[in-house]
Amino acid sequence: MSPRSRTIFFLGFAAIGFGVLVYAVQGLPQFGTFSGAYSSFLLSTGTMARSIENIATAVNFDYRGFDTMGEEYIFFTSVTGVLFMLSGLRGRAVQHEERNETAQTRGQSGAIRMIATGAAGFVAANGIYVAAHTTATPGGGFQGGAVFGSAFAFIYLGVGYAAFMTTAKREIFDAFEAFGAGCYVLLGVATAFAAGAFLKNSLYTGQSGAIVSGGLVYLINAAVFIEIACGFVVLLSVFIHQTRQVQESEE
Amino acid sequence: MSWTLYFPYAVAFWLFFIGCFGVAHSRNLIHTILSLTVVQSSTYILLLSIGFHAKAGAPIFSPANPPGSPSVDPIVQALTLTDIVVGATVTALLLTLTIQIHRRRGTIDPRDLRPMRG
Repeated sequence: MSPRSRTIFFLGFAAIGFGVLVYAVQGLPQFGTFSGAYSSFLLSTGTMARSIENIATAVNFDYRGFDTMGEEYIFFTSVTGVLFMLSGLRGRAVQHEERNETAQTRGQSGAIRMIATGAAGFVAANGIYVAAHTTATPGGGFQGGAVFGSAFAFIYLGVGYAAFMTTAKREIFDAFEAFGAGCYVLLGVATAFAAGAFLKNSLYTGQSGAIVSGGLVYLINAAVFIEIACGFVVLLSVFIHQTRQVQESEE
Repeated sequence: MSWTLYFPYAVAFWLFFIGCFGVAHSRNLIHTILSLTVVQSSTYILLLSIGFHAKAGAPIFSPANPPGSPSVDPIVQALTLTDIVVGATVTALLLTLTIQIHRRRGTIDPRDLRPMRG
């Protein structure tokens, strides 16, 4: 198909799709006026019933905790898929020589290495901070995990490949990722036996506004944080591994 | 009914169609994947603008913003969070497939990638 006919084809169908969407918007509430019964109920009861100030967290890990388990396993299976497709295989494309050198031989200054290492620590601590305040302020295991995992990119960028591979030991992070994913289900099974329903939040919920509050929500949040953080590190390490050239002796 | 009340929906549709246009005209699979993330960001805008309330705060209550005070919809916020996580994993998987395609076929231009022969 030539680019020109492709454009005409696309514009024709886009016009039809746009018409359908404009028709659909007519049925939507006016911007800023929608008020669902479900959300009104959660907004009025969530904080009282669970000592959770952040209602979005309450929705994710408590009222819709079962859905979030599915979401977590989407992440888990996709990290597993990436590992299956890429692990053991190194990048085959010819890379610049520089890629195979360490930070020292690349002439990276001590200042860059020091700042990058410091930034990695700061970002990792920030990720833990975001995840730990899930019930009290905006934040949560998913967001904090993503921030924590990104800290390792600083090690690669500032210090080098060898240091990154020593810090982000894939076997360890892989095991912890599976541990976090498994904890979610085990928490559900444990509550099914102890409280009578899967993921029923019957633990002491603590003081509203305290860092550790929300009962089961806090434990689920910790499990999700471990899983997402370690999953991000595994993804980073698999992709960064791909940039390495195959050594003649390794073939 | 003023036109501006539909402006957020218009932004979402614009992102959706410009992303689709990018997918349709892509000469590079990585560009295709990034176009797909643009399509996906239109769903974030749509979800969050449906949940928006005029003159309401975030669904985070504290002594300064006591429970029961007006707040935007927390359900669509939670759904958007799910959306973002799934989007990130889809991007990771598609990039993996791109690496494999480049390894096997030596190109990541979709126009050069004719159907596989046995």
